[in-house]
Amino acid sequence: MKHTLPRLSAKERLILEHLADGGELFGLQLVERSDGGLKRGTVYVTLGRMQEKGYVESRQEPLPPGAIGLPRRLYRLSAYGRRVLDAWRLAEAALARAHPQEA
Amino acid sequence: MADPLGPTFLRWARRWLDEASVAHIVEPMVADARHERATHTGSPRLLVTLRWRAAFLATFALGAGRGFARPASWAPLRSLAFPILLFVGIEALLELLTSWIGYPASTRAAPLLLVPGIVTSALPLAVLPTVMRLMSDHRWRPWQARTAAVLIGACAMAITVPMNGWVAPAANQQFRIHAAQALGYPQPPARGAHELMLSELFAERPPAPSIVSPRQLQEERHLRSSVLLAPVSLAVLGAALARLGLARRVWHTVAAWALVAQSWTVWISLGVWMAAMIAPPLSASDPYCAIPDVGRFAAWTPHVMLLGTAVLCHRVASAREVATS
Repeated sequence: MKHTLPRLSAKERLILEHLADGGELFGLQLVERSDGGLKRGTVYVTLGRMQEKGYVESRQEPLPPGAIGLPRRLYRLSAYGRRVLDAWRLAEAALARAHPQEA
Repeated sequence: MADPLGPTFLRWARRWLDEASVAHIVEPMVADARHERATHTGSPRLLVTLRWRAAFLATFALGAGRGFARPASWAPLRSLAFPILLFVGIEALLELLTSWIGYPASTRAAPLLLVPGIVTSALPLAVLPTVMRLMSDHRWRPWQARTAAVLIGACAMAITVPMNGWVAPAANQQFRIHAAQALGYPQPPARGAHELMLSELFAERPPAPSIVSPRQLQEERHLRSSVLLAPVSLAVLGAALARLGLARRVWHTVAAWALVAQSWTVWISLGVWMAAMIAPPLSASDPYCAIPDVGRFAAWTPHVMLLGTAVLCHRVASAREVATS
């Protein structure tokens, strides 16, 4: 059976890195922690796509009793997302060993 | 208390997108926006608001292209590509074939006729199966299908007007010039009725140099302006047939085209006959001389009758829906 490395865009990679370090985060927290790497206008669409691919999982923040309004959504790395991130890190390390000047 | 951020964006999303896109993209974004504006301490409140408004726009633009490509309500758009492409292909073949038969020596000029030919005839014809398919697809909500059908008819008409009025006549004349050169005629041919621009058709006398008689000018004027109604009448008819449940099979589409074809043939003949009955000809050699408006009857009757048929079908479908509910 042939296995290929799942595709991972630069933004998806950045999100996975932050979720791996920070645990469960809101979309806005990802934007703030990325220092300009992620924008408010793109991060939610990217998170939605990553959730479909199975890289991240999410849950709604529980609202306090009596509170009204839209609940915020917390994102965390899924087991599959962690494996994808590890695979990409391994692939990059292997490439860096093969061509150290480009690393 | 300030107005909550993003009500319009939320309303638009809930109206047009599927539940998953709303729940996983739009609502988390609006919730974060409201949270940031409520708890901000650093930058001015107006700046936060503006930043989020720009983000809503960016998400809308990005999502319309990629992120929201999954909504169930937009998926049928892909299936609409088939009838349109089919007609474009058939029309391209027909144009090439007829131009080759007509002027075998000038087939290299045939592409001149392709684009306007395809747009003026294939586009209105493709509206019929497109709307039939759209309206009978249960993935669309009824109001979405109706809106999309209206937009399809209006867009097709908006494209047909300049094509039929200006681009096609110019291409026709260029093709005739190429054909005349290829056949060795010394002079470029004078323009006929099909080579006059829509604006020129409304002049009192035919513009020079042309070989168009006043009667031909009048007939072409009615014919050309009535054809502009075709996308709308075909869209209305397609929607009516779909409401009657007559748009689910391929043969339904074929039958609908047959209905349109026979309507055009029968009603054109009937229109001319009616005109002749109203104003009998003064001269046997020119039956048109006493009925200057015969062109109007011949051109508009099929469209009016098709629209009438469509309205009748809509009334029957409404009565049936009321009876079943």
